[in-house]
Amino acid sequence: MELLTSQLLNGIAYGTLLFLLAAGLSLIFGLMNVVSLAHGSFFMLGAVIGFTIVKLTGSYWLALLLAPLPVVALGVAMELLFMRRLYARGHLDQVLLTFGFTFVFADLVKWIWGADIKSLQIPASLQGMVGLLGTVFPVYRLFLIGFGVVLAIAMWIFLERTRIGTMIRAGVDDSAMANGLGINVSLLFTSIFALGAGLAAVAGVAAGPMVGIYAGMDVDIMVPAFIVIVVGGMGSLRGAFVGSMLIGIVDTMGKSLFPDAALFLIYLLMVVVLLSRPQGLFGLQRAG
Amino acid sequence: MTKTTMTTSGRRKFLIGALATGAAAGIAPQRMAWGQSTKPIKIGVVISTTGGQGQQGIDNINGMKLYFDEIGGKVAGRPLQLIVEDDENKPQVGLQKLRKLVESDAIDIACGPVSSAIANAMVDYVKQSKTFWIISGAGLDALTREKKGPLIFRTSTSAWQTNSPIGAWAAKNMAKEAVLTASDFAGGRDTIAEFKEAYVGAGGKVIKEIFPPFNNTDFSTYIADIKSLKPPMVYCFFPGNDGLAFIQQYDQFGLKATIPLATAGFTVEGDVLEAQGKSALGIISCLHYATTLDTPVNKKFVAAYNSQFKTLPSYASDYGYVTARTIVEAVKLTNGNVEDKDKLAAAMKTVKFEAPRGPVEFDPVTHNVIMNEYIRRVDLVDGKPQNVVLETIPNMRDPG
Repeated sequence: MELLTSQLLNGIAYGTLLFLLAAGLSLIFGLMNVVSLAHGSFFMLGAVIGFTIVKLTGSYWLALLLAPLPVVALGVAMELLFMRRLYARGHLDQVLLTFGFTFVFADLVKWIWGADIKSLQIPASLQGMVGLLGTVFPVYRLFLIGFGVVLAIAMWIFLERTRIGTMIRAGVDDSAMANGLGINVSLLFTSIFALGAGLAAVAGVAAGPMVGIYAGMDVDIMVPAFIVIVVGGMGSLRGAFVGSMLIGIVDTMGKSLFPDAALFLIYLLMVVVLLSRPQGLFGLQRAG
Repeated sequence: MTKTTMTTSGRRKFLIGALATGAAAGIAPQRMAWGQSTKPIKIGVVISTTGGQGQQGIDNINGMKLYFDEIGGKVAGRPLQLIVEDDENKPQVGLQKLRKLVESDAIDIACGPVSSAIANAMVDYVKQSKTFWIISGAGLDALTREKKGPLIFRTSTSAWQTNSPIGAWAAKNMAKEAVLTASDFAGGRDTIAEFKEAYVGAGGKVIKEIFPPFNNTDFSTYIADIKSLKPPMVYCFFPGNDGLAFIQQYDQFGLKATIPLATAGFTVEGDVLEAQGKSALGIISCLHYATTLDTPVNKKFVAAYNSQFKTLPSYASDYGYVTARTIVEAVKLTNGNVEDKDKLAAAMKTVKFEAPRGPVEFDPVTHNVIMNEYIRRVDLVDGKPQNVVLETIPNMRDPG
C-alpha cells in the first residue's frame, strides 16, 4: 500500500511536469492551429538560463522567476519574424520550420553552455523528505505538484474569467469569426506563443533539479508532451491537465507493475484514445 | 561551463584537421638514419564529440593532445598528425568515418571509439583493411576476446576488468545481499551480469535485478521499488545523464542515507560527477583511474591538464593520454617505422610505462591493457566531490 501511494505521488509529480509543457503546446495548437516542435527547445533554454542564474546569484527562486523572461522574448521574436509568415501555409511547412529551430537552439545551447551534463541544486528550503499518506516523499516533488496546481488554477482563471481569456477562447473556437468581431487575433497569437514558451521555460527550471540538464533533453520531453495533447485533446486546458496526469500515472505505474511493457503502455493508451475518441478526451471537434 | 574549446566548434561535421602540435612539422630533422621516413605519422580517431557521449570523446582527444604537446608533437623524427572524426554516436556513421580515414586520409593508426556499439560495427572492416587499431574507449569484452585481431590493441578497459573486482569486494566489505540495477542496453546488462558473477562467487545473493529503459529521466518508480525491498546494498550502472538523474533521485528520496550504493566507476566521473554534486558523496565505485590518485605521474598529469583545458581530467582523458603515449613508445621501439604493421604490433606487446592511472602494459595474447583497478569512494576534496582510493587491486588482466 505504501508502495502504491508513493508510486501514485511519483506519477502525479511527473504528470505535473508534463502539464507545464503540454498546456502551452495545446493552447498554441488549439488557438493558432500550429504544431510547434520548438517547444522542447524552450524547455531546454529555460533550464540552461536557470542554471546560469543559479550560478550567478545562488538563488533558485530568482531562476524560476527570471529564466522564463528571455525565453518569452525569444518566443515573441520567433512568432513575429518567422511563424507569422507561415500561417497561410500547411502544417508541414510549420513543422519543418520549428523542427529547424530545434537544431538551431540545440547548437546554440551547446555553443554557449557546452555539451557537458549539468544540474540545478535544490534550494535548501525544499531539501529532504516529508511524511505523507503513510509514506515519505521528497519535499521538492511535493512543491512541484503544488506549483503545478497553482499554475493550472491561475491559467484556468485567466482563460475562463478574464476578458483576454474570453478572447482567446473565442479565437480557439473560430478565429475568423473572432477577427470579424474586432478581436486582434494576431496579437493574441503572439501572446499565446510567448506564454507557451514561458511556461515551457518554467518547466525547464522546475525539471532541472529532478532530471538534470543535458543535450537532448529538448527532444526527450517532447514525445510524452505530444502524447499528452493527443490523449487530452488539443486546445483544451482541462485536456492538457487530465492528459498529463493520466500519462504521468500510467507511465509510473506501468514501470512499477509491468516493467517489461513500461515503454509501451502510454502508446497503448494513446492508440486506444485515438481509436475511440480521435479528438482526445476534452478536445474540440474542429469544423472543417 | 563550457568545458573545452572543442564543444564550441560545429555539431555535425566536426572535423579537426588539427595537428597535435605539428604546425612546425614541415621542417625535417637533420640527424636521421638511412631509410628512415620523415613523413608525418597520421593518427585517425573515430570518436563521439557530440551526442550523449560527446564529453567523453572530447576528454579523450584532449588527453591525446596533451601528451603529443608534451613531447613536442614528434617521435623518431616524424611529426604526429591527429585527424579526428565525429562518429555522432551512431554505428553506421562511425564505420563510414573510419573508411574515410583509411581510404582517403591513408592513416597509419586508428583510435577510438567511445561506444561499444560503434566499435562492434568497426571491427570487421578493421580486420579486412588490415588497419592498425588501438581501441581507446569502448569496453565490449569481445573486442579482445573472440573478435581479437593481430593488429588490434586496447588501452581503455574491458567491461569485465572494471566490473568484476567490485563484485567480490562488495560481497566481502559491503553486504551479502543486493539489488542490482542498470540502464537497459547491452552495456548495462553486461555490467550487471559481470558484477553478479563475481558477487555471487564471493557468497553474495541477488535479491532483484531492475533494468529501467536507457535515456530515462524519472527514476522515482524504480527507487520506490528498491525502497520497498529494503536491500542492505544496491549496485548500479547508469551512463551519462541517466547517472545524474538516478544518483540525485536516490539521494532525494532519502535512500542514500540508509542503503549504501555502489556503482560502476563511469557513473560517478567527469562532468556527471560535478553535476551530481553532494548527492554523490559516499558512493563506492570501481575504476582504473581516479583524479586524486597520489602518484607523481598523475599529479603532473592533472596539473598540466587543468592548466591547458581549465578542468580536471576524467578517466577518459587518461584513456587519450595513455593511448598517445602507447603509440609514441611503440613507434620509438620500431625506430619510426609504422609502415610495417607486424613489427609495430610486436613492439606494442613490449610497451610498459607508468601512466596517470598507474602501471600499464599489454597482454601478449589478448592485446588488452593490464592495469590496476581502484575501489573508490566519493568524498569532498578541496570543496569538490571527487573519488578517493580505498583499495588498489593490482594488475587486473582480462582472462580473454
